[in-house]
Amino acid sequence: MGEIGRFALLSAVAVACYGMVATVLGLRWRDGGLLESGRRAARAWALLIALASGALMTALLARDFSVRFVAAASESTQSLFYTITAFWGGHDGALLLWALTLAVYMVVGIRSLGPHPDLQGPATAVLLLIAAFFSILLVTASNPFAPVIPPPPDGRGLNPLLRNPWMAIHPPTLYLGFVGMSMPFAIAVAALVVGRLDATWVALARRWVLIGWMFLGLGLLFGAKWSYVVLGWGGYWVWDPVENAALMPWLTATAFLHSIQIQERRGSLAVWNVALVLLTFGLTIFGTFLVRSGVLSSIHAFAVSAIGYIFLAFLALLLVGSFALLAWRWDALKTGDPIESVISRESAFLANNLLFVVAAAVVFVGTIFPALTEATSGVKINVGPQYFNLVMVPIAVGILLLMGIGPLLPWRQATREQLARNFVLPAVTAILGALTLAALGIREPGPLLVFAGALFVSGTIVLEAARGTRVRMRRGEGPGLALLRLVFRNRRRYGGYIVHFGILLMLVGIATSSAFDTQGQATLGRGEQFRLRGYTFEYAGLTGWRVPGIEITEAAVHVWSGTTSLGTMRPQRYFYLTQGQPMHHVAIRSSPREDLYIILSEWTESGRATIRVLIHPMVSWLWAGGVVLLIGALLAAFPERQRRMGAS
Amino acid sequence: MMEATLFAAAALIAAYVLAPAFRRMPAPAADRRAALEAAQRAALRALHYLELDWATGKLSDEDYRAQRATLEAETAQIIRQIGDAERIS
Repeated sequence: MGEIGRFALLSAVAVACYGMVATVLGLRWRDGGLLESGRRAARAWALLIALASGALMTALLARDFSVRFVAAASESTQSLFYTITAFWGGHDGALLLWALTLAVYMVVGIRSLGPHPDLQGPATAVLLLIAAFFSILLVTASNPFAPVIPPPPDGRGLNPLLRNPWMAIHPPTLYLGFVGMSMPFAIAVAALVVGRLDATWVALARRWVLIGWMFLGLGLLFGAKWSYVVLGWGGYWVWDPVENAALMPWLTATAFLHSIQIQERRGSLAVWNVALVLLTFGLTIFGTFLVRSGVLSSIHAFAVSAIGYIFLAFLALLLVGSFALLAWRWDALKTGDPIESVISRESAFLANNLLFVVAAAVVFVGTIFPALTEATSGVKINVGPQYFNLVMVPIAVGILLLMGIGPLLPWRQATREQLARNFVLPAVTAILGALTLAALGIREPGPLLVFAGALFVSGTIVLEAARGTRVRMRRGEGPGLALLRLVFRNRRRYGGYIVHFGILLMLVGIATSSAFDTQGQATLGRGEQFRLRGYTFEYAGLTGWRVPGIEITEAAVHVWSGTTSLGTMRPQRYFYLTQGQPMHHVAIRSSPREDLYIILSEWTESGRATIRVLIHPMVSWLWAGGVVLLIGALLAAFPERQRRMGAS
Repeated sequence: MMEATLFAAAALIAAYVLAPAFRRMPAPAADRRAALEAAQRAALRALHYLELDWATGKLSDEDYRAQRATLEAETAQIIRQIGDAERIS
């Protein structure tokens, strides 16, 4: 398998480099033959990367420890599931998965540009440049098929932290998001090269950014879920550099998805939109640099190598080249109508854009701060979560308010009467809600602002849906049918509202679980109890057993809420024999109200155990919000039916 | 045997990729019609949502009429340009 893999990767380098040169020459000489040859090179590259991926997967399944990557990321006792996910459990395999993701995007993306041949050529060249870069890395610094001589009798096994179903889907989803941003980047560069940032570019860029944004969001959420269930500290976000690396392009992509609507409707902000696409892709490469370089310590960095700096050089090349193109086209892009009024939808979108970009900048500065201080003073200084929370909470509240204000404002300008008609009811709901919560004892300003903001935005969404439904009901439709048709026939707008609703659920979950969590710990003998916030926990003893490669110890804990039994929860501790590494397997009882989270911290020979309990209110709202966000994004991404639109 | 198979695979890939490079054909020109159709879709979408905004009370009658007239004029111009492009092709 190693031989096939090496052949495929070497051929991929040759094909990508040839394809890039052929396409550039084809564009320069206006030679359709060379352009077609370049497109075929892109398809061949994708095929070769698929072949290399198949070879690596076969080597993993066959436990071919003569391949260094297989020996490093798997072992003979590893289950089939984690043998498959070991593909992206180490640096070289993760990079191959990256290339495989790019291969899929490239084939689909280049094909989808068929009706726009002037954009297709330059976009193909850009994608082949990225493909060539990844291929060269895969045959040099990160070759997953490098041999081990002599082969070891068994592998070192997958890092125990990665043996979790959430980690099985987190990296592929994140890569679909990261690599997905290469398509809008390629289209933006192509549009700059040919000087055409018209309605075609707007439609294409929006679709591809939306796809990448959706996967990036899912990847972030899966990563948070993994952190929550695996790391055993009860949290899901710690402003870790690797988390931030995925958050930054998500923030700039979110800004783009709003500001592109201004270009679509008013023809303005073309420069800003292109800059956001270029920046978003740059941030995905910067994120890879952070993950791979080890320049910043991270709880998520499992695959560190020296190639991080190669990524940095590649990033510099891409950003300098693409922003130079943008500067070259600067005058041609300054088109469209100026903003007429501060109270208009475009003004609200512009303000939200500024907040998203400022948020990305805040995260960027906080993330690289330790590296900067180390470079200047020799001492790594972390800004810590306090910095992020202090700066990001006001920005999040600002974005939350604009989320409610923007969609209810008309384009161009709004009158005072329209403002009163649209905002009085949601604003009164928010104020009354906040007062009620304050009366119930919730006085902390951060969560209170988030709850009030969430009520305001929910109010605007409900009002908007109710008015739209009423309009359709005038045509004789029943309320249910009217609402359904309203949503499905205005997918972009109502998909966006559903996304907003998902974000609200997530923000409420984050604010509540962060501000009102409770935790306690007790060392108990069999039959002993301890109480925490209305719950009683009775330790019922330990059991232990062994499965191949792992020793498992489990505590049984009976749980009561008041006098009602909630059953037995079973936190476990795994000890991975090959790696000599212990791992928590926390027991979680989740409900919309709160999560009970129990960790088996330690135990003695006599059978006493230390049990740590965390009570996180409304964490499940975060995950539920993610599902709602996904539904909304899918709805918004689905093209609307033109015939019906024209008819209206 | 393995080397021979890989060599044959490399030759096949090279033939597939290089074959069009030896054919002389002009690069396809920018498809003006596709761009115009994208602009038409965007204009129709803007009209559709303008109507929804007006029906749900986000716009005054006066603003609605003014914006609708502008958008209709833009759409009509795009449709004329599509007609011209069709005649030329």
